[in-house]
Amino acid sequence: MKRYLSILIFLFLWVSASAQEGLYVEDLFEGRVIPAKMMKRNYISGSKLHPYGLDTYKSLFFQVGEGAFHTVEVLVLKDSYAAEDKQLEYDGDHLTYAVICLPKTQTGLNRFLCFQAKEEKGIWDVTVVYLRGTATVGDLETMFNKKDK
Amino acid sequence: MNKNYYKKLSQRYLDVALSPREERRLIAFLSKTEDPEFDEVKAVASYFAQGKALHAPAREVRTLRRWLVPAGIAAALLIGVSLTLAFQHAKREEGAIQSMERTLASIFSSGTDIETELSELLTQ
Repeated sequence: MKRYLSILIFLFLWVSASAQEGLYVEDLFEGRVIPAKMMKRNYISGSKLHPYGLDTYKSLFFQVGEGAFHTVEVLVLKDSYAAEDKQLEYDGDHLTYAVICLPKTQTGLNRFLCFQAKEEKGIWDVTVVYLRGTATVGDLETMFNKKDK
Repeated sequence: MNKNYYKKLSQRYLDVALSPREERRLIAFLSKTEDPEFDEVKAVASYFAQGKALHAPAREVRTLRRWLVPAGIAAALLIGVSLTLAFQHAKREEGAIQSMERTLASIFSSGTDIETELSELLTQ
């Protein structure tokens, strides 16, 4: 009996640990929040990303109304709670920009969740990006920040 | 009677006037007979038989040559299709990377620069 109990406890802990590895926005990337056919998706992995210090790049672009936007916003904010570092920007009540440094993977890789949204006539243009690799947020800013300083 | 018949056949064989069926019949007879009167025609038949044997591989080469052209075309088509697919794949990958660069440039360029904001606040 004790043996079964310890197996159950182990399984519970294992499932809990696995769940912590996942993100709330995973549902979004899996097309469970907004139908996949309504999103432009760009998934890249492998050696093509090595020059950027990344091994995974996933991006979504979609246009949604207020209700769906709020759902997406909540998912991003929930993931930001576990963040080590984050930059969140709001326009009124709405999250319009986020760069979230997620906890590292078990293998020590950095993970980032980026979010950008812009509203026009009640329609939100939303971009959500998931990045994983050895690059730090500083590296990414150096590589991709084209703003004149 | 038989001998006369085969002699006539032999003569016509030497004149190259036999039908294939008659030729087969004569060859079958020559392979069995020991009659010295047929030695000459036997020698000729043997010579042609050797000639045929020698020409057989040449026919194979001709057969191979016949297949070589369609096989070459098929190989060229296959290589062409593979190269086109590889090119399209590379182009798609390049497009995906360019799209990634644009997206990340948009994200990492549009956030508020905290350093600038703080220095603006502190200098006011």
